[in-house]
Amino acid sequence: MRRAFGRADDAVDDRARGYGELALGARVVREPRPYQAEALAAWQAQQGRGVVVLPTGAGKTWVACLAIDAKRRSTLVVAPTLDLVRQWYDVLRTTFGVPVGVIGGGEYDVRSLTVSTYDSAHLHMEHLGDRFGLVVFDECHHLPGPAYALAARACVAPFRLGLTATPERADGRHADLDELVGPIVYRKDIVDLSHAGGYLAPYDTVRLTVELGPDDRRAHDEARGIYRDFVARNGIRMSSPSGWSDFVIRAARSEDGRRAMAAYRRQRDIAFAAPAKLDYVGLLLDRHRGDRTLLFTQDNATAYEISRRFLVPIITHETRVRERSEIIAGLADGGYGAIVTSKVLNEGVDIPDAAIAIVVSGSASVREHVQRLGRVLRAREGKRALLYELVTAQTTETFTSARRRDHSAYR
Amino acid sequence: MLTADLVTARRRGDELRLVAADPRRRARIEALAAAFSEIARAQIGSTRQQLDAALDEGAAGADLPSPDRRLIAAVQKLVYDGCSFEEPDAETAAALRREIFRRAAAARRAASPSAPFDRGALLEAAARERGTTAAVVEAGLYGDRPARQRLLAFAGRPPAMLAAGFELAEAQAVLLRATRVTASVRSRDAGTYRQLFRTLKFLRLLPVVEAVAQGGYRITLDGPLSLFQGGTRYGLQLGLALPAIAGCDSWSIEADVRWGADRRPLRFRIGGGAVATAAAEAPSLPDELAGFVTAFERLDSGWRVDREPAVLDLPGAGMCVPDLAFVRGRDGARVHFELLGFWSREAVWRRVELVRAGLPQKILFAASKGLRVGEAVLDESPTAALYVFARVIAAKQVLDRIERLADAAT
Repeated sequence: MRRAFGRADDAVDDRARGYGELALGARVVREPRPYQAEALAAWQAQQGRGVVVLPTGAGKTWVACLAIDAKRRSTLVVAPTLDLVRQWYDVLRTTFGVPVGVIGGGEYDVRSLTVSTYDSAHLHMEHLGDRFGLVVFDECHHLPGPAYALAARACVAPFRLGLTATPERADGRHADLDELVGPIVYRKDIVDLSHAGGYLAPYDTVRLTVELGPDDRRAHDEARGIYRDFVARNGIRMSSPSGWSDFVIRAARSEDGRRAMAAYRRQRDIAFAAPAKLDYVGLLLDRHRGDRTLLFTQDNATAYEISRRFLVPIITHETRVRERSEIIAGLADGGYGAIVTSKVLNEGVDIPDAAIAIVVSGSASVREHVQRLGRVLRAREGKRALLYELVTAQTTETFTSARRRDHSAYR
Repeated sequence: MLTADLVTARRRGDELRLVAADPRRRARIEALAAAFSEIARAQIGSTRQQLDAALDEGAAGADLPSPDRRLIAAVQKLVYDGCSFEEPDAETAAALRREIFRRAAAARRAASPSAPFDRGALLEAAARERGTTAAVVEAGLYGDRPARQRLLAFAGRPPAMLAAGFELAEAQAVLLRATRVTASVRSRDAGTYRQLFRTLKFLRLLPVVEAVAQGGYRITLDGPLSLFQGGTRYGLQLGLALPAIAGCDSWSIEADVRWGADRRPLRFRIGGGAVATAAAEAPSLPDELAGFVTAFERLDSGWRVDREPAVLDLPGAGMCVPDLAFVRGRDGARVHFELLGFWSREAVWRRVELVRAGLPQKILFAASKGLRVGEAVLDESPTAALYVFARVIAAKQVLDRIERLADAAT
């Protein structure tokens, strides 16, 4: 507001401010990596407002701890999932040695260091907007939605830090981050930190194309024919930005359309969980039986099928928190060798040092694919990570795969 | 409750209108509700997945003059709301998964090309230890998934009642997209108003209430953030408020809604006579108030708690809706009590203005410390006081204050 009125130097009686200063700074001091120190300096140079873009596993959390220590204001950390809230809670409590508040997942305990989900921040910010001088938005690409943006708009915090590996959004709203948090002040990607810096594990990506069996091919092509025919007859351009929603709307209007939608789903399901793909998953699990492996799918049905067939633990949105923690701990202590998940582990959650990722199916999202790769890049002496991508030949997956690999990390 | 995507509505200029509930449409809704209710009843004991499949089959076979999938899905949803499912035994399933998956991980690690991992043998061994079959062990692995939950009971509304209340259910879903609602209500029964105002408070809406000269009230509903940015932030609460509004003898609402994929701003109007709905029952006291009442009654203070006090109306100045009234046994002295809680400083100032305008009844307001208001604002009033509490409403503190108010000369 002072900036807006162009009178930044005037003395102001700030009655909106309800936040205080932290009595103590960090009690755990760890030398930041050079890029973490650069990120902090860039953020400070921008008056403590801005977005830091670092790949998964590069230590974004530590950048935030450095920022909290530098500003020493009451701080709210906003994270997209309860797993991440729990992770932040542990990090802040250990780093600053003070009780940490939690808002979300049935808890409402506000303290000078507090962690919240985006949902809860959006719900409660109208009461809490004056309580924090620094707000950290973890995975801040979630923020620019119409609802979550209120979490940023309804708070007075002068200092704001956004953290993400992939700020760009398909809807273009990443431009709103400028207003909600601040500009991108620092950016390094996987290639910068892996090839040159050695801060992330070196890695290889392997794309495996599998063929459908004759029966599946016939069923796939027949379903695809019905879907394509409907799209063509209705003049829908699937490549246009509104292509998918046009298809959904038209499909809902007639029996013909509903048959086309069912056919679309059928051909997609066949491609996602082609029997040859699942056979290959078995081979890869055997080949990497001594490594920790993460398997990713696009849908829950395939994830459950893999869990059932290979008897590996599964994490989906249905998995209760306690079981999820037990599974992640089991991967860390060697009790489990692999975990299969649909989208739950795409971002943020600290996974023990896994070395193998198998993408059984996925969307066309570059962000999702980069995040999945990031899950296996935590550096360790002698480690070389490996990401397998299974693609069913002559299906839309070949196109989807090409789109999601449109990132420097895959070149 | 319906969701907005299940509503059949049309745009007319800047207005959003529901498809009229003519007798033919009602008959279709009733027929669908009867068919789906029958299916649900027949599926008691089946899994959620089986119920879904049976309902979908029923929908596919619905004999309708012009199939309307949205209407079918909406009726299906209302019927579904009457279903209760078993609570899954999550602990047992999770323990089984833990055991089987850990054994599988160890077996896979120990496997070799000459002795590969054998899934079947592993399940057989686990089954033998339990005295059961491998198929039972395998089925138990995911026995707690929602799709496997069994339908225990069906207590849906009778089809005729569901059809009669369908338009209201659709209106409720429209309000999920409302940014602001103005309701005009009229009722002969003071209890209906009390129930309505208590519902609005329970939903933490900020009603601005004006008495209307011809009788009744005009209520403008929104939440504190509406000042800041128009949005559908309070849509759920506005939707949940509708049954209580529709419980009045005559009522109408006018709502600003954001409709469709493009969230276009439209005006929505609906009204009618009293509609009896199950959802219109008065809500119980909020937890913080219920806990306080229990503590107060334990004091054995000689005061009785009246949970249904009258609405206090000061014509021309405004009104307030106390949550409770305390009645002193020895002389019948009465002190009202309203919890302003954690919600809005604005609400506190409105009450202070009402008292200064001459509200004659004795009343104690309770506000959270978080609202940053001081008790001194009402120090000079002989009829009202403000009690600021830190975390919980302390029964003894309230007792002291109502004793003082009751004894104060007015």
